[in-house]
Amino acid sequence: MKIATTLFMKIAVILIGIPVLALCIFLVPELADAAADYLGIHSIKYIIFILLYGGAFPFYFALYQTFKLLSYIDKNIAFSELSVRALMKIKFCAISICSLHVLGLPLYYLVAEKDDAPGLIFVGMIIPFASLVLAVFAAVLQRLLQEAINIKSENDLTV
Amino acid sequence: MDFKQSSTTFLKVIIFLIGIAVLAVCIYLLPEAARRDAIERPGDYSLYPLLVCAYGICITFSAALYQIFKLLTYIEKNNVFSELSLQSLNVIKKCAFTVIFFILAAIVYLRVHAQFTGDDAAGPISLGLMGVLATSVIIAFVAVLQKPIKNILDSQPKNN
Repeated sequence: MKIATTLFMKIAVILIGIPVLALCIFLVPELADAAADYLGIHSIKYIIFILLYGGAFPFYFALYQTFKLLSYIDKNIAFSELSVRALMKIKFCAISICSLHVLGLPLYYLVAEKDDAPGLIFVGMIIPFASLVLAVFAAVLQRLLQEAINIKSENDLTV
Repeated sequence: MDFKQSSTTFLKVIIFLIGIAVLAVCIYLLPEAARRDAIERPGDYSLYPLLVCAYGICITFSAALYQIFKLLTYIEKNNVFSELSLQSLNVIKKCAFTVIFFILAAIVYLRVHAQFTGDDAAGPISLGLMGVLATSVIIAFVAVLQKPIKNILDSQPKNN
């Protein structure tokens, strides 16, 4: 049962990674070109590249850490410093993705201003918001795990 | 402790906001869609089963949200590792299964409907399949979370 669920989660992690890779390869260059054309500023292309590809790195690192966490659960060493550290890395990844995309918000504002579509800003806020929620969630999990480890070590001492 | 309080409060606010969004979908978006459909195609009731599915998903989703809220309260009160949180994780799992059931029912209905009318609804069906995948990932995640809690619960009474 446990092996099955963790295996399923591992497959899901890989499945999440593939579309993001496809987005990075196919969509981001086109998006950058389109935005540069639309705004008429050529250098905006590179800013978009830096922000989006820069956001992809922590994303993949977080996926890798999730994968590692799942294998810890497989090996029954979920309650260890290792998984606390993995959760901490996931938290920092989420925070860095959030801040990178917050830096990208002015671009959304520029396009929204030209397009007269105020709703676009909210679309731009989805990714930072989601990663912020994930960061807080990872922080809470990390805290709980730390407590669980403390309980466990106390138990071990009493036994 | 202070950090924990603020983070759970933040998550609670997020849950609340998601709940408001679901409520808005229920009382504004879906009736509006139904109204427009009724004006466009009078005497055509083919949208109603889909509406039933949508409301079912919304209701089970809000039930799951409530359970997550309860879980956050347990975290605040420092009794996450208890039977109570296992129970609410179970309820969340059941809610996810119910959502999958509703999505599958909607997909089957769309397929059957396509047989009669001839228009193929590939877009909504693929969207529904993605929803099934996402929900099953949540089920697996909850199951993975349940395991360590159970382990801790099993190891505790021995010491008492």
